[in-house]
Amino acid sequence: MTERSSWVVTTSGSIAVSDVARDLTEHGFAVEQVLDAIGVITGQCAESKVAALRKRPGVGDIARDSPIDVGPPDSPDVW
Amino acid sequence: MAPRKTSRTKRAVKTSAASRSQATTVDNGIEAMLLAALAGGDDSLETGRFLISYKEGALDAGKRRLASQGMRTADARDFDEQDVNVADVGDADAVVFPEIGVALVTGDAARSRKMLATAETSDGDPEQVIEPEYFVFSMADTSEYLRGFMRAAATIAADLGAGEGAPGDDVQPEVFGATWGLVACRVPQSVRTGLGIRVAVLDTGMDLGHPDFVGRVAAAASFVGQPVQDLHGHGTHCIGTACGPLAPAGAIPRYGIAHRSQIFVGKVLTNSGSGTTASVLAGMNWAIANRCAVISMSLGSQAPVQAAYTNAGNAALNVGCLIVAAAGNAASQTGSPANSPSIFSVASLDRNLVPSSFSNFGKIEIAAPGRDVFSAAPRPRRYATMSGTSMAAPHVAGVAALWAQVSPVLRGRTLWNQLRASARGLPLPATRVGAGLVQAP
Repeated sequence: MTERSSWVVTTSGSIAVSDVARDLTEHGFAVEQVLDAIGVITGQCAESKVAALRKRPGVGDIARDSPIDVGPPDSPDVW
Repeated sequence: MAPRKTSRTKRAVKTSAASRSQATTVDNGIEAMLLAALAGGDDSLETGRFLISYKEGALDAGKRRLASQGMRTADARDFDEQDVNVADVGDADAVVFPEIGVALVTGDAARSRKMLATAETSDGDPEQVIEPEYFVFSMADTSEYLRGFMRAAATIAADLGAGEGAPGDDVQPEVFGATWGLVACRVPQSVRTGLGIRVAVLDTGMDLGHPDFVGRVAAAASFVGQPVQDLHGHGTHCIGTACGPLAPAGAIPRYGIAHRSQIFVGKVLTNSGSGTTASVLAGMNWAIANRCAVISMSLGSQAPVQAAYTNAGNAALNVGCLIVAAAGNAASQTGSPANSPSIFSVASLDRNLVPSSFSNFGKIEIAAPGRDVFSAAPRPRRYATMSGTSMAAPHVAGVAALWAQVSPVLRGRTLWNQLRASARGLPLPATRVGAGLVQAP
């Protein structure tokens, strides 16, 4: 089974975010969040599908979900 | 029942009563205990568990007594090199540490057998003393707490005209009754309070029971699957600077800026300080949907510009919200999300108004105090001093809320421009300090 990764989809604004989310779902993207206020969708799919999904209508950008860290409690290295 | 010594590998100790609730065993998460103590308004530093110290040579007698009292007991000798983590002892009522002659007993087990801390021991007892166990915090933070306390004490001494103990140069600003950062931003002189302005802080959450913030939280949400209650400290500290009180109790100097703003707490980082772009974006979406005029984000990574953050910044500006973000502490190019053109990037300054050595540079809109910033911390500490662009960003967020109160026109891009236009110019490149030091109206 192909391993799935988490992705952040930024919509282009040409189509309603909910419509983009529906289309992505139909094309194998497991939608986790539809963030209407900022035009972003997050979810999971295999990396091999991303190139095709980037060409779907209303998709502006697809980037891998990445970690953010301000350091552990008491760390001298905060963000 | 003591576990049978069958293996030298580290393992969980199980007893016959496997269904026993974790809440009543010594295997009780430190975070859970701290949350329970805070929820109950307990500032005592006690964990609720008890430590029994045994008289010399009386450990075995003590173990037998625990067994006779029906306690399920684990022994540190059953673990590799006695490397026992309390989280590994399953549902035992007590863990015995033979090398130091001590047993750790759950609160429930101790109470049900009347082994309270106040119990007196007699000559014939194996126990020497039974006392509460206390939470332990790092020395670094303790020293920071004491440092804040000593500064406050020094300020009082100065007010009283005492020769000895008067503050030196490094505490001089606090004789004005406010932290050096607030003084530098001309906050004490401002008549603005942030009244009616929604300020969202997306971070590790907040100590919702902190006495300086009673009635201040308008909304709180978590996007990381943990309660909003901040067990890290970073979020509470940032909220303290942006929205803390006008006059904290006692000798604590004023450390908060928009003291009558409405606080929106978005927990987008876990209690270990980590999260993902997705959790941060979810928090941004929530804050914008709630039309928070100011959204403060003291977080990021050394990543290139990310389209989703740029989109979110534009979406915010379009509906009258301003996203303020810390530039980062890598002494390198501004990190993400502050590097997005639609997000207001903040660099850090030291007391002498030069850029902090750690502060990122490049795409910078403004600069603010970020070194040795005194602010709120989760109970029981209550206050702490921290450094970073993380501490600079909430100075800008708080001042932005004051400006937003001046006029309903000062929103989004107009607020962005006003903050830069009113900044105090500094003789330094814009790539280091942007338009200069943020100034209150």
